[in-house]
Amino acid sequence: MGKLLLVEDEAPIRTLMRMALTTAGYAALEMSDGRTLIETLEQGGIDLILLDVMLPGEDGFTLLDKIRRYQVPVIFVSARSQLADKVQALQAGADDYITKPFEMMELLARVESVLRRTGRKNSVLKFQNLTIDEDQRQVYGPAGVIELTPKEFDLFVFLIRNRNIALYREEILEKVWHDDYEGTTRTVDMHIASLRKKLGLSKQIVSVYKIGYRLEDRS
Amino acid sequence: MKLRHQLALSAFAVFALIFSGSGLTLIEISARLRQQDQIDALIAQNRAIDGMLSSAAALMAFTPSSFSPQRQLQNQLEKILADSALETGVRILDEEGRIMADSGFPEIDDDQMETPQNDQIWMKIKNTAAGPVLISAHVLPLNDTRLIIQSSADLGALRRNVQNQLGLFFFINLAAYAVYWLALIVVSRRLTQPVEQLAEGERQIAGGRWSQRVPVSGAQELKTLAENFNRMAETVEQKVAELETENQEKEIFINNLSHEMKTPLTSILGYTQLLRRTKMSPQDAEQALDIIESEARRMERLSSRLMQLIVAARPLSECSAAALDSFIEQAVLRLKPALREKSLRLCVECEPLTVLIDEELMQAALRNVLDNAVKASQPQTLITIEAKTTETGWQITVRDEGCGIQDPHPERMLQPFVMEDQARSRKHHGAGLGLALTQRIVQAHGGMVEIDSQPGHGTEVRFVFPPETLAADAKAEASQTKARMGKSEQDKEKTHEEQ
Repeated sequence: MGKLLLVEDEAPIRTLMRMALTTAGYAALEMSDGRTLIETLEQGGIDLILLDVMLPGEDGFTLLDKIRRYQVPVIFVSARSQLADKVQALQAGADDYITKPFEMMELLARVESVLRRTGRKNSVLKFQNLTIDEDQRQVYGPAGVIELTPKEFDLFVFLIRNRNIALYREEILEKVWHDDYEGTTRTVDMHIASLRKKLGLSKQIVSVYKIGYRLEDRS
Repeated sequence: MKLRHQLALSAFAVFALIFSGSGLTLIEISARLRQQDQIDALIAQNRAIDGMLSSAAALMAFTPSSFSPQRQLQNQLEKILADSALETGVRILDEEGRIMADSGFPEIDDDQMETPQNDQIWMKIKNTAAGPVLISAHVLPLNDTRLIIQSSADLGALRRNVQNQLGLFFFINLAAYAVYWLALIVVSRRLTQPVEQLAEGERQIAGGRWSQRVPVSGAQELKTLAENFNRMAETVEQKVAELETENQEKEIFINNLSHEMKTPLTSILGYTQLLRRTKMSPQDAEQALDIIESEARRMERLSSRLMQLIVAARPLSECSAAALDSFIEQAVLRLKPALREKSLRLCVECEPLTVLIDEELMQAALRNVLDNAVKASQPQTLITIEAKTTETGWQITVRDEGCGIQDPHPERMLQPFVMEDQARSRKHHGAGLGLALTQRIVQAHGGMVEIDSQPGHGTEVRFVFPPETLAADAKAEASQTKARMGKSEQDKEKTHEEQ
């Protein structure tokens, strides 16, 4: 779904981000400071950088200046949550700003959002033997197009982009149905049942006790 | 009302009273004196007339005449009156009140006139049609009869004079008032100008321009006032600056603190979520749990340090006399395992002093510095601890031969959350509060912390205390002996360490 670069000096947090992102299907490269940043960008292939503001040596802002010309989108990561800091970061040219401590889902959502805004989002996703074209809003199986209702499609895309992560029913309801849901989480259950049947993913779309559902990538 | 108006008004009122009062009094007195003169003149004239009449009457006795004595007298009177150049009116009456002679005596009703007694001069001021007139009447015994002599003097001129004077005085008064008033305004304005400048200056400073001062000018009292005010403004300015820096420092502290809290929280929250919601490999799961635990401990340490910091900021409660050498001994004892592990050498030089300190807190303060020294040192190097009196009190020094502090201002390390090398300190689970705590504790004892460092060669940290915390007494003697004994023991232990 994309190749990301993580620049963070605190090892536990770096590992945390890597684990969350790779679980969801991204590829992640790690770095504890900006020394080899330019080199890595030169080699190309990076879709997005998650950049810590407080780094030893050159800090996030200085590095941002240096890598501007590579035109790779950057999300700043920082413990400072004041409005002034966010404004400063965005004015300096960052594409987004996430504050510590952050929710895993928030991290994934922001990454997805920035990739989409900067046109680097992969609109063709693959899941096992299925191909999903987000632009065309079509799902292709081995036997051709599989008909899904609009909400079913949205739900499936949501599951794919957050694969391997247990999703709360309420989360699904909010993220997929937004404000125009008039039902309860029963709607989610019903749609999940439909997806399982239509896509043959009963084994992969797993019910997670006390939480909701998880699309498992048996790989 | 403004001060200068008050001043001017009071001065003017006083002036007006005095001037007018004096003037009027002067005119009045002058008029009375002149009136008295006229009275005296009239009396004198009366006497003269008496004299003349008496001599004429006496002469009459020697001069034969064909007239009756009465007639003779009358002729004589008329003659005398005609001959004498009288400036006033005179009228002479006989015993029965018939007019015998008259010369310019004004018209008055007789019944207004009293008949004088003998030896008495009756005098009165009467208002006639021609104005006020002074009338006198007296009895002159003459030969066998008595004459009533009345004389008058015109007071009109006097009165008119007084009126003129008053009129003139009125204008003089007005002129004086005007001039005085103007002069007052000018003078009072000049005198009170410094007061108004002062007020203006004070207004500006009170409005927030702390660095402004008022001009020092005018009378001595005003100058003193201005100087005092400026001194006060100085104090306020300093205080404001102090408060602002304090505030800034607090903000920085809080920002740093929140950062130090948020970092471990990110790991704890994140890994918990990963564990809860994703399927992790057993190794990854174990690693995640390890990290959660160590980050939680890190937060615990941070919060306990904070509590210590808060406690150290309060006034010391448990100050007691402590033998410095046994105090140092205790600190060394705790350090031994770390020294052994890194094969570090230790040298202790301690004077037998008794000091007033909170032992527990001071141990904590010393511990931080010793730990840093150990961390910074390479194996086989030397750490020195000294405790001695100085010219300005006493001090404890810890010296190491380690890597030193890179920062050209090593005292920055005493600030909360400032660390030499973030990465290395994290490894040792530091948060940068150790030295800040140490400084707090030393400061609470009235002392201060000094740091000198040479990158690559070593660092020296000094706790410098004022003489107040030094207690010299008989215990010092005993401690001295003890110190000597203790030192030789330490020498033995030093040999142990080197092995």
